Amino acid sequence: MDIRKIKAVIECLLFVTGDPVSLKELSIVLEVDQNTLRKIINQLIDDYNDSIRGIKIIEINGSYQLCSKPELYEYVEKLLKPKAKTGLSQASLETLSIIAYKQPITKSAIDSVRGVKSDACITRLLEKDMIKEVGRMEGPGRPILYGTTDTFLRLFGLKNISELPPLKDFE
Amino acid sequence: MSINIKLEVFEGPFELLFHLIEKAKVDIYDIPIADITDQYINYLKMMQSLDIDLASEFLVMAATLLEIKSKMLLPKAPKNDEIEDSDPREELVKKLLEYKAFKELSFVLKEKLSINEKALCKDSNLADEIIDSFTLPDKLSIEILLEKFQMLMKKRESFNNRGFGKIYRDNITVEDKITQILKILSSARVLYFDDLILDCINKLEAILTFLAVLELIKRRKIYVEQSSNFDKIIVRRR
Repeated sequence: MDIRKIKAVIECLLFVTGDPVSLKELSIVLEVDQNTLRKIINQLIDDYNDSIRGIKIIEINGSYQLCSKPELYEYVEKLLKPKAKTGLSQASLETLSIIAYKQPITKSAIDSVRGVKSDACITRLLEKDMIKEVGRMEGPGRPILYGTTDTFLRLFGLKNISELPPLKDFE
Repeated sequence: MSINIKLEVFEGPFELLFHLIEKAKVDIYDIPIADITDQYINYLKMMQSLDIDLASEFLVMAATLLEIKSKMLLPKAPKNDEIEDSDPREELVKKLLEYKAFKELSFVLKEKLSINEKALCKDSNLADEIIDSFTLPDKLSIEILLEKFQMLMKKRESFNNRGFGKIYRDNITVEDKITQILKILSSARVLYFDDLILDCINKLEAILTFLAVLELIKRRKIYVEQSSNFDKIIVRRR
């Protein structure tokens, strides 16, 4: 298969699935080894960025997803007229940043950093699919441990969790 | 008359403490604990006088501040090489700084969110549709549909023809039904089970008919067959 065809197939698959597709899955379907495929996808990503296109490919935890370009959002708004968005409160963002850096983390550990109870924030973040339960801590009560999701990475424009700005810059 | 007063809202005790420290323009590593504690407690008193419910966390912090203040008042223990002379404020400062770091980080994250949430992804409905797609049965034809429809209409007709206002005495027995079925079969070679049921006046009779058919199968007088699921059940004499 020549590169142009491979690129076309990747574009097609990402369009149809909507959800992120892993490099591994793409490599199996296309019968191209992962290293070569990664290079081709990076080229495709550049193609999207270089030319004037309305969509782009983003990478999340080794998976690829097709999404619209954020700078064109005003036109989406014009067409679809979304209702007023309920964003995240400052308290929820604080909770989210603590979870992002200290995951896996229990609710009581979050509370102790913030100095206030975070129940409502955690519920909201779970609803918004920003965080998820990742297990339980061994110990009294086996408290739930929380971690961030792929949705979190996507919404914050991160390829993976190591792309977060280093915590030490803020200390 | 009520007066609305806009107060700065403090999410938690750390935030309030920060506010006080910033206002006093003091070094966070060298907090004048007595002053800050006074201000903190005054603030809580004001909140209470305004009838604002205080979260218990604010009171815990007040207690912590008082504890640190009292520790600072104690004369220092004579120098001992083994026990390090630690500042009672140290732990609080550490927590304050950690909180401050995350607070600042949350602003950075907010910035990132405000850009990237505008990159929209398509949901996976299309993929789900492809995964869940079902194939039509092989032999589906308009004739089958017509037949099913006619059967339904027939059923409905018999339902509509139920005699209203009459209550029949339950004087039918399985044995009666057996005789009846055998009688029909003596003249007709086959009969449809559906027709037997459709002729029944009420549920009880339908049940008795069913039992009669089972009994006859057991007695090896008849046999029944059905070519496929939900097809008509044919009753034949042996």
